[in-house]
Amino acid sequence: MKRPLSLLALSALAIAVTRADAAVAVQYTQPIGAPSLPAPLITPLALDVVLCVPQRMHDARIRLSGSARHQNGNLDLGEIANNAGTLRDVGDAATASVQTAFSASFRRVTVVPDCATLAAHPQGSLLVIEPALDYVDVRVDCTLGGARCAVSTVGFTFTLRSLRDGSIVSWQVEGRATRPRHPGDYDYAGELLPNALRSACARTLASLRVNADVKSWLTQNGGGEGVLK
Amino acid sequence: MSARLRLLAIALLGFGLTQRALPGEGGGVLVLSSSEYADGQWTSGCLSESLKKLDPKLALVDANVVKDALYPWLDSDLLEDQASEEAILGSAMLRQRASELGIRYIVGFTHTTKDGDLKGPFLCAQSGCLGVGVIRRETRISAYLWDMQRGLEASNLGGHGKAHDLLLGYVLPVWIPMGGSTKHLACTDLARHLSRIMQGDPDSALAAVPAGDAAAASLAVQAEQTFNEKSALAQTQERREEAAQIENAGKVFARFEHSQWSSFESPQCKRSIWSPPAVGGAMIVSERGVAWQVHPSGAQGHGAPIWRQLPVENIEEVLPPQKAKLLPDRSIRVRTTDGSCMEFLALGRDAPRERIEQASEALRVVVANRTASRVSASANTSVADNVT
Repeated sequence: MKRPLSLLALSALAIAVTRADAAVAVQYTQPIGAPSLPAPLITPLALDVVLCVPQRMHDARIRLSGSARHQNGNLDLGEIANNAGTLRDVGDAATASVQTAFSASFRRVTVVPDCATLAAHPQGSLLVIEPALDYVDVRVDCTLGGARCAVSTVGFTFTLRSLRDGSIVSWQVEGRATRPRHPGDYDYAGELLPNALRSACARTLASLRVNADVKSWLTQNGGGEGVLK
Repeated sequence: MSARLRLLAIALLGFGLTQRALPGEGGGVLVLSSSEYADGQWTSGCLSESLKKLDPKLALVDANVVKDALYPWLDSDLLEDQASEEAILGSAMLRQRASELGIRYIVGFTHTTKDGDLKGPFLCAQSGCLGVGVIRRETRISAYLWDMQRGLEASNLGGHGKAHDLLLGYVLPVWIPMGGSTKHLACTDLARHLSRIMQGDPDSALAAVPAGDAAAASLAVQAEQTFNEKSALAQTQERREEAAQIENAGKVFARFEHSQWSSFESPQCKRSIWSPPAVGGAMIVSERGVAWQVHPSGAQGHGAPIWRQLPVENIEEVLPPQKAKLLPDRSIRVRTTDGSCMEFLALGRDAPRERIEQASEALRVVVANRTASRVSASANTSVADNVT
């Protein structure tokens, strides 16, 4: 009788550990801060642009999966913020990251809070950038090379709109961060999300230089080849 | 590489940055960053140790400092993009910053594959096990090397580790490990390849000719690559034939993993060549022509592949790249001496456009030289005839 009982006890322990993971994985122990980004090694494009930060930046839904799936399933950031107290910061961190990336990418960036009030856009600006945070994903059930890992991805859609004729180009950027899972360490989001945002920033910065569609559009709508030099 | 759309990254991105010690200048610097992944961290650490053993002049430095200094260009995700890789290697600003930091080379490892099987008369049933089995274990680590000074790349570098264990069965199975960790063996093998480039004359390994000469630069890069490909391929049973092809190919300009061939219509083509659908596999472009795999059934993946060759003697002209409908500039087109035309398509992320162009250009040079020498020989013969 002892062996089955022992196995049962082990199983119960395993379940308890799994549930403990689930419980603490969404209890972010630290505020989700914007990543501290190094000065990018990039020449700003010779353009003045308007960056509007829509409310949608704060409306993205966070997806939790694996053993960290919250009992309520997918929650939007506001809900998580109410529950966990800190996750609303993700929207702010994402906004700050995007502003940093675009500020380094263009000669002058004017930030406006509302895309609908662009009638009063600054003189000289040809383009409007509209960012949207599409998703924030935290998975703690991945394995890599046989080791348990946690991964976070953040997805953005950026739209460039010409103030002259309204033509647009859109592209998506995903940032990702991964780390091994260590026993007793459950602050996955606290560590991973800033790194994922850094990765997204890197991709955003690079995309304006390497994305053929974006470059082509910028050349046509931003004043010719000169803007890219 | 890189960006080569890389295959599933098990160990993603370890970076090594080295400043090669110039003669009389003392120690250089080697940087290997930690990766995000457990396996990557291990590989970074192992490569650091192994390279340090092989070349004590290399000093280890934290790569995170360099990643910050070159942000955003070395953040790991970016390196999965071909376009980003082109931007990195082609950017004078980046190369300037790398030079200021004393960085000459960047080493990245892209993926690790593990393989193994059990062979031998070995059976286990309810009553127990009986027999003797041999367990084969293999690990491969793939890597690339960038020369930041000249914007060159040596891709498809690899480390290979292989070991055999014994499995004895007499009621109970007994596993007798007889080899070391294949991961470690692969890592040290990779370190040897890297060290050979860095300890040797980098100019001969990566840039024997002035930058800008695509064909010649390709030859220099591929010369190193060929060596590694030969050694890696020769160790696998299923690729012996391919290794033999490379062995017989002379100087290899490029080898493409996913490729196919077809005919195409052009005013220069006198006739079409039959092209079965979906044939293809590896393709080797060398100074002796083009060799490629075909499958007897006509469909990739069925039947043992056989190799066909188009010797350089049978190539009349390597046609300039044209805008193909499906894959712009990702083909090598040749007109053969019988007037037919063939098009070799290299597909997938393993076939960056530059390599296609470099291989095509290198082959074009060889064909042009051969034609020139033939014309010259013919002229000499004519002169000799006249004299006679």
